[in-house]
Amino acid sequence: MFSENDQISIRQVFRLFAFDFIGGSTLVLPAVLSGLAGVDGLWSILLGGGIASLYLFYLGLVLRRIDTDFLTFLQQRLPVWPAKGILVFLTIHCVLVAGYAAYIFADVMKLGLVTGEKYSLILALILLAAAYAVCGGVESRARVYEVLFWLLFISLFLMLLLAARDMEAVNLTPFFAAPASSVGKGGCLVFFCMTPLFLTLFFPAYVGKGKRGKMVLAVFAALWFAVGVLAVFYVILIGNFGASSLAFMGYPAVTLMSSIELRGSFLKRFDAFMIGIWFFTLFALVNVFLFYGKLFLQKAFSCQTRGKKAAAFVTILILVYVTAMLFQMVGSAAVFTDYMRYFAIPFLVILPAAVFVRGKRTDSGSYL
Amino acid sequence: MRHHRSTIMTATAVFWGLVFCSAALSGCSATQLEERSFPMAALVDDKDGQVVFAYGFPALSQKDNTDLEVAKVNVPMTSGASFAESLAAYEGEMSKKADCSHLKVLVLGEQLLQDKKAFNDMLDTMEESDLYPRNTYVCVTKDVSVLFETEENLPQDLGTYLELFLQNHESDRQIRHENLGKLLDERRNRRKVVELPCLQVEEGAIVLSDPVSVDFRWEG
Amino acid sequence: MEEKTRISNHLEENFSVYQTLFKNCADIKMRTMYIGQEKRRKCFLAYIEVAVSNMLLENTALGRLLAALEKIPEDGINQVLSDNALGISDVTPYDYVEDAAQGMLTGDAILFVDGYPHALKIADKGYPGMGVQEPDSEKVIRGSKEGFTDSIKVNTALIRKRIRSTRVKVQEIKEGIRSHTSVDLVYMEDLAYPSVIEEIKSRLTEYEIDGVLDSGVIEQLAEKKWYSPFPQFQTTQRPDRAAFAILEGRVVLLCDNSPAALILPTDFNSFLKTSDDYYNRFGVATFARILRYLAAFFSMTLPGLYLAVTNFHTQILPTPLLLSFWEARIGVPFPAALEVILMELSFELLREAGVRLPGAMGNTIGIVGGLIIGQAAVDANLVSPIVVIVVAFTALCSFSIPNEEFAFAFRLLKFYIILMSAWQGYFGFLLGLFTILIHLSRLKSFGIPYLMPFVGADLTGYQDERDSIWRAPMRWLHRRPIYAKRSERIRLKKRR
Repeated sequence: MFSENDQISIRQVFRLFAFDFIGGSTLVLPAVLSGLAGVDGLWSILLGGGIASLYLFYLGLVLRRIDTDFLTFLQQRLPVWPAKGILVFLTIHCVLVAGYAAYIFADVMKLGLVTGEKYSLILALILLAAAYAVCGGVESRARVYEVLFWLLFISLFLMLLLAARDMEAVNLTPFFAAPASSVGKGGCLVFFCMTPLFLTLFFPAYVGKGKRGKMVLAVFAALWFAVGVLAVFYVILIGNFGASSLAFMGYPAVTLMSSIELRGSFLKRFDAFMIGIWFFTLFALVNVFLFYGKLFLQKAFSCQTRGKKAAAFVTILILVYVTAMLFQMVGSAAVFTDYMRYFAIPFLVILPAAVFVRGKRTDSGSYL
Repeated sequence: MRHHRSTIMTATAVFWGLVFCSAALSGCSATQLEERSFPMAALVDDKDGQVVFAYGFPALSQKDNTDLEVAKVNVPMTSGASFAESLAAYEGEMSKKADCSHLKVLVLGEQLLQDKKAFNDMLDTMEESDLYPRNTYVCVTKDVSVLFETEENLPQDLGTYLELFLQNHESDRQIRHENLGKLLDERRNRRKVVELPCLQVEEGAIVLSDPVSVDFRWEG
Repeated sequence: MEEKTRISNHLEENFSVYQTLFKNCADIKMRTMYIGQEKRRKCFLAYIEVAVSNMLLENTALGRLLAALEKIPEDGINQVLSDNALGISDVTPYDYVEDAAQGMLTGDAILFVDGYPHALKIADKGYPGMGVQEPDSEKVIRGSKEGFTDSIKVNTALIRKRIRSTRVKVQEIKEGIRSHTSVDLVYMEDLAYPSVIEEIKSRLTEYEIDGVLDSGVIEQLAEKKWYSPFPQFQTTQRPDRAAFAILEGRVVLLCDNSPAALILPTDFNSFLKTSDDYYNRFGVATFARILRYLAAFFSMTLPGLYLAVTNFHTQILPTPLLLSFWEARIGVPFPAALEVILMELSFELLREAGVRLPGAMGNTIGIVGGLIIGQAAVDANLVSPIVVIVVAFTALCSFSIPNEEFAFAFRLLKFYIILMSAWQGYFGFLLGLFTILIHLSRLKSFGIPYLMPFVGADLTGYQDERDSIWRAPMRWLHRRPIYAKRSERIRLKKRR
């Protein structure tokens, strides 16, 4: 009657995307930006937000001109084999991003919560839980994150407020000391972390008709919410630790949480509880790419039956697991950054326009 | 279809049952609370080129049937060529695992601060292994063993006493003493001199004297 | 203004209109009979079954009237009726069928006589009263103390008593091949979605079963996700709760021989509401609601959190507390996880024993078990005192959940969280919580997401959130929740 239709609300779109953006960016970016640009990393964040906004604007233009969601358009308007090729690449992209997110996730859990446990077991548990979440479809995940949103972010804001007490003014200077190229590089890295934006193209299938404009606005709001959180986070981290020290840290967000102490309160430290924020945000990131990876693979290989769909899903899970294990073995950040810089970003920028133009060319009432 | 689904459900149930049973039987990865000891203070010094190390523990009651006996961890100071070595030797002597999540104070001997190599080596070890909490107070004393001996006359263990002592001093003077986190940060940032409180023993009582400066700015 | 139907001289016309008015109302009885000396003057008596039960007794007004009318010549009946000759007090004539129907809904009988252009209301208020007992669960401080009984007719009357509207419909279905148990669907015709009613009927008729002896059997057969620990039907023994649900646009299922009514659709939030949330002022109600939500959370998570913190994340606790936990654990032969599980199981045994034992013994077992056995176990160093406190507090929290079935879900899942926390610490705790949350997000009750109104509240313009973890002041609760038809969402408005 109400919700058998795999539809989500605009509020849920906002919250889903906010989780996707915030998880990886707040964990990984601060140390990298600090090493690149120091205090001026703040401008990198704003620059990255600006680039991401332009990208979203571009995606919005593409969406406005197609009457369905991108996946349907791709399948209907492009010849079979190019469409399958694109779907396979998208699957690989989703597997890599999900694998990287899962690697960070398992790494943070191992460092912050279960130090003595094996990485492979933690990873397996994460992927099993993610698989269960994905089985419920986009609606189920959207509901989970809708419920958790304010619970997590109010806790985060309270912790940031407490951490702000320990900031030192000397750590927040000097501004405009970093070279523009460093700030630019930092901006690009911020943009890399915002590439879940690409999934905006596939979301019209899950929102009601006539709500595309609102959907894009919701994604835009989520983007700037995430940029705002990241910026505040960065300022507080720099103020607490200093740029050079921050650059040496693995996961400064976790370190910050362990530094906050409330004298006289019932609990001494909150780091274990606050890691829960990244638990849920990283889960969102793993989930969303696992979901789309599964979807793209199923579409690429025309999996119609229940058995084939299940097989595709299990394949994706195994691939993500293996990818995350590989990331742990090699120098993951550099490998992943190179992949994003040289393959993923160019592809994700060119693909929407290319598909749209190619698809429109066949728009004379007949499909190839 | 139903048979297929029930087979999957049975397989899932068996799988999770095996996982949980094996986890339960394997005893999990947790160290039980009573198998840990909680040092409140860590004391590190340099004596004749060797890094000496000891933990200070709280006095806890150990129930043995109906009798209450005072139980205290008694491990003598160890020494080694480096902090890591000395620490490993100390922990090897302990019967229980040291859980340093409640460490209050890190006391450094003046000699150690003067031995830059040993000092930096110690900080490297602490930073890489995330050994002690970042909000552990750091203070300096002339000879850590002298300070350690005053514990017998203190109302609490040395670590708890020094923590309260330093907190009271902070609130009296409206200052904030540096902790281990700030020390490690400043080692990287090299923006200012770190002033560490200096403790002295005068007539059996612990007093604060002029702070000791640690300057990382000129290091390579 | 609705057009009213004037009472006709022809009995069949009145009968037809009355029947239309009370279509699908199995508890409304319309009995035709013949009065007058020659027994040729037809009449029909309309009443609510059970509410007007002793109509034939001579010492009731109705009984005396009917007896007297049997002796009067046919041509004198109208005069007698008009003059109220028998001096029966509180006999009211009606000119319109709708007025007569409204009069009947107050619990009286209505007499229509062929050739007489009025209907007579004869006072005979027989609604169940003191015979109805207070329910042994769902106790409230403020509000009605009546509970459902085993009789379906009494139960529907209890609901009718609270909603005196012709739009309350009662559809009867027979369940059980051998038992032929009556199952009534009670709903408000203009509020409930027809698709929900059809879905319920379809699920009720999906299985053939020998006998339905309690509403619990129907619940189990009609639930979609039968394997979920969370109930997808809400049960209540309170008529006011059922009436309130009907006014929200929900459907109440009454089963003969069962004092537990089923309310559907339902959601997570409904299980944590009580009737007196709406009878008390909003501050009191809000405080109680938040307390219940916290209690529900801790009833499931507290033992797991204790294990996670003491075994994995000792840095969370203040040092004095940690050291006192440490001292308490010394000499206990079991690992902490096993200690917690054993204590929880012991407590569940005590609870079960307390329920099964009769009367005073059941109360005593709580004292014996809790104080003496618990204390003895601590003295013997079998368990640490802190675990006893954790288990006791967890139990208190689970008692605060108003719905027993719903509380049971938390009691079951508590063991899952304990195992996950013992295995992987706070990571395991979060995993356990997350999987439960995912499961809840996938649950639906007749199409309504179980996590309403925390999700999907945009469907009602976020109004449903006003009655969730907090309860807005009564004058802000203008709209019915999502269960009601969209065109009938307004339930409160100011007159001036």
